[in-house]
Amino acid sequence: MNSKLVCGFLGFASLALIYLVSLFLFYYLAIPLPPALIGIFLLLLVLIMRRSVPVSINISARPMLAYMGLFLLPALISVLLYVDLFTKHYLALIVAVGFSTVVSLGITLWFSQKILSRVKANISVVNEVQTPHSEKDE
Amino acid sequence: MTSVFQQITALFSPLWTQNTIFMIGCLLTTLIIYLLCRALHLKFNQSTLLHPLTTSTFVIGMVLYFFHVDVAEYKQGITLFELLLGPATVALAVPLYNQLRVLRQLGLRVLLPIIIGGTVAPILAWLSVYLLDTPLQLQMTMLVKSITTPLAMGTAELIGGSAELAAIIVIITGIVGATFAPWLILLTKADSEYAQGLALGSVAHVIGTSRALNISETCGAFATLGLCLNGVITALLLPLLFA
Repeated sequence: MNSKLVCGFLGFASLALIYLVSLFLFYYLAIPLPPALIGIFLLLLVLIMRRSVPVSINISARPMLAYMGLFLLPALISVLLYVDLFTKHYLALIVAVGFSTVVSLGITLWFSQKILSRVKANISVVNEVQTPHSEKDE
Repeated sequence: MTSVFQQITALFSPLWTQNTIFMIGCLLTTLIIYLLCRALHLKFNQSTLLHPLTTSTFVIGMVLYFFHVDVAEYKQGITLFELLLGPATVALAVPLYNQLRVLRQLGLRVLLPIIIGGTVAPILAWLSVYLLDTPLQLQMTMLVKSITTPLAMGTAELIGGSAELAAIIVIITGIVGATFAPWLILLTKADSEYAQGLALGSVAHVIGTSRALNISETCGAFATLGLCLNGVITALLLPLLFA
């Protein structure tokens, strides 16, 4: 139990450190990518070189991804600051966010079905996907 | 060099420049509301209409209104959560790494649906706001509407959109996509779980992915791949095209 806690903390510390490094790279080298994306690439590189996910990273990544919604609330609450914009352009927003999302999901489904209908279960799916999303959030 | 460190410390400075008690109060209130909304969502079979992010935004809005707290001040109060979004987004590399095997096995056959979803959705959305004559900021923000929220926020900022606006639009997109998904699956006769997963993940990001996980584990795995790859590719391309 205790060792799991220490492990989780170490994992969190490494994620935070990677993020700080990517913030530094973002400002210092003026890389035109979101800092978090630079961080994803850095971590992915480490994982590919190690050929496995370190236990500490795994333990801390799970809850961080599952409760990511909490970290998004600061941005979402700004909806209150944009009330004017929303009421002014409500028609455009309904068309763009509602209608166009439904149409694009339909188109994508149709194409994916065309491309993948003949691919059958000869694929081994990694079933550790429970990592972030099985807790059904963000 | 020093200016780089100044810029980074400026991101963290709200943590010590404001009233600590107010900050802790804001953080605790937000945490409690979020956990309650999350529990409510789970209790009602994860109905997309009760998504914890919409319900908690609504409840927090009511609380702020009721206690006459200024929205901008409250946002300062919960800076800690905003800062934690960074490391949490970096953690997305873990599910992406876990799905790389599927990508290696199927190659273009998974890449193509993701590319289609990742181009059609933003183009249609941008076209609708463009034709309906909206401000440029809104048009640029629309381009990131299908990718996972944390990446959408960073990308929107780089291409002249607004991070906060992006967060709202992305979440609503996810809810719309996940709500209409069962109906669209019937309409397009897409009975392949792989196809369903890829489409849901690449058009409706994390909210679509949780819907996919309700269909099956495999469907969820493909949705995770769609979500991660579309997020990474879009966040990589848009700033290069528009920044």
